[in-house]
Amino acid sequence: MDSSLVMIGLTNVLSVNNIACILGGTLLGLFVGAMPGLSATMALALLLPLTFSFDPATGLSMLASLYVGASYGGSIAAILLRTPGTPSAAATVLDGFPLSQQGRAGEALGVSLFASFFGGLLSGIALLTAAPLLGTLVLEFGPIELFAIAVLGITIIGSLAQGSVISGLLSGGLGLLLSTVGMDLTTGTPRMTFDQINLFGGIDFTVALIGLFSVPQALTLIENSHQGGKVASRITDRLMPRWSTIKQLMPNILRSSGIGIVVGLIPGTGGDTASWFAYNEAKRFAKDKSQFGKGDIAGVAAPESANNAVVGGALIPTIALGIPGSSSTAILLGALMVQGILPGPNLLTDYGDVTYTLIWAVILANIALLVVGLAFTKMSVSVTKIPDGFIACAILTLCIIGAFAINNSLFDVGLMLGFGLFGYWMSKAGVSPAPMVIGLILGPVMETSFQQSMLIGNDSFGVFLESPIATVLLILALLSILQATPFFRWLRMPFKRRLKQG
Amino acid sequence: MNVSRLLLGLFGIVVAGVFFFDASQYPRAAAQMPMIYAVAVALLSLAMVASELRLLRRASAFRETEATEAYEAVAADEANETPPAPKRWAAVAVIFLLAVAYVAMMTTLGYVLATALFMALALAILRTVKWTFALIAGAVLIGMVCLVFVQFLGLPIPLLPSFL
Repeated sequence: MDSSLVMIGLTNVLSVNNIACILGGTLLGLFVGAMPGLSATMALALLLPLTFSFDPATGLSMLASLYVGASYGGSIAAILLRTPGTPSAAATVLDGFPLSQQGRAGEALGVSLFASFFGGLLSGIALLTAAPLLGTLVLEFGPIELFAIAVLGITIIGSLAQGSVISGLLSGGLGLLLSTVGMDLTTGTPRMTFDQINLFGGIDFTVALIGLFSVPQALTLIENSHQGGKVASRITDRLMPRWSTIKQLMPNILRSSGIGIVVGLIPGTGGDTASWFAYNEAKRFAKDKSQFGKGDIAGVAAPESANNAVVGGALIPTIALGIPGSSSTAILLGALMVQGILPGPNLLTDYGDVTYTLIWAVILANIALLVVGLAFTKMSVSVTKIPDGFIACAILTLCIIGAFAINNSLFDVGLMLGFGLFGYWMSKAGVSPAPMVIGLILGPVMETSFQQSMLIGNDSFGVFLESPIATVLLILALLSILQATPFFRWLRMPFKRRLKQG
Repeated sequence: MNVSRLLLGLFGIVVAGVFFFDASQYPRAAAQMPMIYAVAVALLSLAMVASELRLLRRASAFRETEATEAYEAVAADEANETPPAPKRWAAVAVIFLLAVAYVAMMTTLGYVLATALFMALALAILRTVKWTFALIAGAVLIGMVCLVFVQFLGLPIPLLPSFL
């Protein structure tokens, strides 16, 4: 770890401007996370065009803090409305809502806040220590290994994304295919541009992002909008938990944070996987399991520390390898790309000052979360009462102006709406758009590293087998695809039979 | 069977075919990756179509066998439950088309008028928002967008109609 870059990153993030943006971003994330039907990814996608005019440190700080704020904000709706504000707060409903019914909403929210703080802080520290270690390893990688990592990233994300493996891989494949639209840099050939000058530069990743993540959410809110407001439980007890409660929950919080960091490391898994895993483990270790589901405070602490710990964990492969582990980290990577910083293992070396700024922003955002959460959690209850119909129309107007802000082009807005409609179709088909976005980001990286590898290997595909690292990565990629096919089930059958007989 | 998945699979095959055919006319270096991706997408799309057709066949076979009694019992249970609220597909379609029209008219009508019209029409179609809330919140939203995107970011979008 280059300590000078670490200190530069810390200095960048500690400016008055950046601290204000971190506080503002956390508050915005809190409100967005608290509203059921909205997600952190959608908010990040909408905020991204706004950060174009900021300097990299400020833009990244704001985005990172929004991500952190939304990870906690989801628990507010989960506890008060019995509806998770974000998918990663689904497990919090099980014990959070019963607690609010018992008049302990404040206690539940307070424990959720502190658990989120500890989980996020620990994952930020893990990010600060692990990413550079992985980064030094990855410096040994050349184009052949980079290609293999990109292939592994796409296949793991595709095979672990929501829905079936075929859906995930198809989504990733479509993203890779769309990444080839535009002028080929090697030969200058326009590919799939239909003589449209606006497509010569390719499909802007931000346009696709806004369309795929924000428009389908707005359309889904419209689809399900009916009369009848949301009724939130009232907060009648104190928000600040007792120190004895936190001490008692600390082993649970530490274990759940560890789960969150490890789950975040795996591309394709996110807060929802981590929170359910942590909830199950908390129940397994509980002395009285019967209380789970009826208002056990440990059932709130576990998922909340896990889903905030995912943030740092997911950023480790993103920063060290340039492979985004989730759609939210894909947006953070996109924010780096917008500033002219290309994803890849050189993020920690050539662009170390900006990358370490992002890492410190994640850590500081968790401290800001504690401050903002204690001050504004009660206020965010009123935000949950905004009618879904209005939110949907507001999202559409923000999508349109956000897409226009990218290149001041109405063509981009039209393209964004097209992606939005396609994203809505994908949601009806149960296909996640996250692999598609990651395919759009990794496509150019894969193509460049593939062409360089072919040059090294004199146009022979065997070049990928000459590198042991690339061979292992490609085998893992193949296994991640095969594990979902009947082939693996056929392989496992003799072992299963033997186990049954034993 | 999910019809959307089936159609998406068929769409994937068509898109892969178009990309493959187009790429076959490029120089070799430019054609390699699009062709590889197109083949992968085509195979995955075929797999998706095949899995949906298999599900359709299984569902038809299930209905025809002795399991019909169980099927009818489940259907009877479902009939006794409170039906979920109907999905507002028409509202989705109309509001999306309104959004397209909003984009088309934005430079002619100006951002403020176009946005106000879009919000007013969309909320009138939804009929789930009180008009007082819509008025105040809409004005706040348009004000904030103008402040942030036009004033702060300097977005070159006309605020007022071009005929004024």
